Amino acid sequence: MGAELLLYGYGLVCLSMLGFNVIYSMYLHTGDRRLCRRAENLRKKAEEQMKALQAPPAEGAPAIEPGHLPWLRRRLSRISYLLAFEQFLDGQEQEEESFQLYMQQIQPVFSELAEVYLNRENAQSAYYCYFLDRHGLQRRMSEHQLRQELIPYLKKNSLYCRVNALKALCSCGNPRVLTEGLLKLGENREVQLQEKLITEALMEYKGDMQELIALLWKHFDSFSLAIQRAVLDLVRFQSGVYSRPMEQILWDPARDKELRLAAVRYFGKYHSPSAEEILMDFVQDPDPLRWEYAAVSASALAAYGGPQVEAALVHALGSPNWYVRNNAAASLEARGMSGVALSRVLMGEDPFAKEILTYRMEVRRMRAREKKGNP
Amino acid sequence: MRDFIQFFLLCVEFFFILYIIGYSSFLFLSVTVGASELYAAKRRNRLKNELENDYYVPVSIVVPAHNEEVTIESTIRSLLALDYKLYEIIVVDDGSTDNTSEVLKKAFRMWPVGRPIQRRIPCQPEEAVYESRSFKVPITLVRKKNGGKADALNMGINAANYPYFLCMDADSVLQYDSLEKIVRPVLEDSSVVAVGGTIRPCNGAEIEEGRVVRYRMPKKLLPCMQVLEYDRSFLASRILFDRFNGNIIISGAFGLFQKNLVIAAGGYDSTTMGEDMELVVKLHVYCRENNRPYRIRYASDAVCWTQVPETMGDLCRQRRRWHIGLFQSMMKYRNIMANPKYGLVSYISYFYFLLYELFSPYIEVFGVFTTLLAFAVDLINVPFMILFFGIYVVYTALLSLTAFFARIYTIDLKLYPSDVVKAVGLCVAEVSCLRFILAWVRMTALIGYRKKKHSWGRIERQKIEIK
Repeated sequence: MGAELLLYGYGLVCLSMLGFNVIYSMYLHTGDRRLCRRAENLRKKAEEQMKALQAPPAEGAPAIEPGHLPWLRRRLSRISYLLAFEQFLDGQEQEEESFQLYMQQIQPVFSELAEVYLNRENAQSAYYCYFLDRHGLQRRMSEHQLRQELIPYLKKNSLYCRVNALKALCSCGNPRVLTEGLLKLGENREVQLQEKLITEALMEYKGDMQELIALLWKHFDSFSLAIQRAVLDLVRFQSGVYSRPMEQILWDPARDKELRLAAVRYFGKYHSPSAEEILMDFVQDPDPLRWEYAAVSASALAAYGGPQVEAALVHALGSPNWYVRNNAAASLEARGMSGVALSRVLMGEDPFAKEILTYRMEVRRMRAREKKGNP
Repeated sequence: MRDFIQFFLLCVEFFFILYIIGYSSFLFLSVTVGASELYAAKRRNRLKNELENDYYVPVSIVVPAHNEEVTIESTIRSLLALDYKLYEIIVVDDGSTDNTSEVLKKAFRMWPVGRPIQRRIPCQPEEAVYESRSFKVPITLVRKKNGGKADALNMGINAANYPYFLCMDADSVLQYDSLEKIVRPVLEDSSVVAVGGTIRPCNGAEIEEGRVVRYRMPKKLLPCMQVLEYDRSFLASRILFDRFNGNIIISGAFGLFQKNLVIAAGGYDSTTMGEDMELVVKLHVYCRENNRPYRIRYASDAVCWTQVPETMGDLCRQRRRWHIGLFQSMMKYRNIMANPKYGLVSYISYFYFLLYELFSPYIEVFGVFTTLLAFAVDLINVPFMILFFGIYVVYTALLSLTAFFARIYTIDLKLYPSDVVKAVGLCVAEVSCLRFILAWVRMTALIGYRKKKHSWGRIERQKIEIK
């Protein structure tokens, strides 16, 4: 005896869990109705205030009832009501003047809530940032408020919270606060966000993108590596007018490899005569340790014309590295190549070059057939 | 003699008490941690604590196929319906003797191409390569000499263009959002090198364009009992292993891997039957031996639907194959055992699979024989034995039910009263009957296993109805 006592204990816990599951299942079943009831309650209260705001003011500017703000603050401090408030906002005509006025008047509530949710568990903090971002409420905040109230969320120990806070900062359209936020985000070197997540958030920036990029360049060296890479990707997607700083990165051997490769990709999208030379050097570099530069440059050179580029790409077809050969063949297919060069490769003695180029030509023919609708 | 038997039985009793305490504690921890983790995940989902991105990680889906002419077209069509932007589909026909390749060529307008394939992992040579660019994503068919599932997967990895590949079975269906969900752990943490998804039996499910419109317990009893087994595994124990980076199995039916790491580790081993487990253990070993920080994750919300065997013969064949695979992987990487370098992977995961999966059929059958011996020499307290067996059955059934009920925390599964009744009724039968039958099957699995090294495990397939 003894082992079965342990089993009884475990069994008892399992039974309690089963009981909890059954109750929780019933709770979930009625969850939607509860949410709708709360949203309806909030809607009624809000509409009363909106009506009051539309009525001609007795004296001074129209204002909502003094008791409404503390009431709303108390309610929205509970996450279930914040969810219901979101449902209420979804059902509103956002452009209506009375609604806009109401949102303006309740702005102090959201400033207070920023402090409340900052000290809550991570899931609630993340939701608060999501809520702000989705309804653009932070755009009504002053620069000081944004700095004070949103940036602390970037330091929370939750990936979702950091991502949602970054998105909220991006959609507020203030370049200074966003740059400051990125600097803070990079401070914790232990927990870095993936550059893809940062790039995507930055792509959603709602303000003047050129102003933001200029500011990001200014602070470029202060950012963490992941943020630097995200900034370079953002620049590549947004603008072709940054060839000069990109060239500096490209030419600087002390820079991180990923940054230099990002610069190579930039020049694959935006043609630059001065970058062409280094791209050709990269693609013809025989050093096997530098194959990544050669492979990415081989892709980038698809955007460049001229016999010299063609010669460099044909040379790359004979590279011992598979990726370099493959990318060079894809570029030659994309930009087209002279009949002389083509026959030289196809009649040549390098079976790998011949094989990869023949395949690319077949892909080209296949695409053409499908374009004509004649598969 | 009697004294000796008495002493022997005392030792056996002591061993079994320890064994049962270990097993019940593990199951208990699995279901409690699993349920609480699923509860937290559901709450996160409700509070929008999720990554919703357009910037996708490019994925190559590798589908190894051998004589799959019945299901292959619907499988590829379900892959084309995935809600994901950047992926490619690579089907590897491993020397089928039926019309698998012909069905694909006709259905997806595929053209022969002289595509060179970089042979970074050894595999049988390709006989022909076909491509189609007429659909949402590129589809490639590589026809090769027969070499087994692992060999076909290696060919798929060689042909893959993207940095991550997803392996799946040719008779499975991915849920419309499964690719997005299985990629999320990679976006959350760049040290993630592999992610396993949830496998759910699709017997009894209605699927429309990758979306489940109706999911009830299957009508037949055997698949029903397997649903309970799958729930125990995917809604409980894998979540527990995931907590300490200790998953040493990612099902071959649905797993995402970092391509370069798998290539560096040597790819799938075509000499083992359980190539899926072997690869994951190999990744643990490779990363630990090279002091590389890594995570192997489990995404409980990424779902793949698969057919489970509906006849006892098919089920026994499947379990025999799984057991041989388990044996081969455990033996091949036996240096993990009690090795401090492997931390909890060694002390919990490896020991669990060794004691409670690999050796359990022998231990259970040994227990039955010992009970018979004790009965024969009148050294058994029969009422106590019955009580103990009763406690064991009720407790294990209770755990199965707790795992089954954990589905209320999943995003898409609902609890129906008739399903609950079925689950309550069958959990006892599963624990007290099916378990012992399968223990016998697994115990005899290793007899003559060397003859079947390269064979594809086959169960009777029915076309999955995807509307």
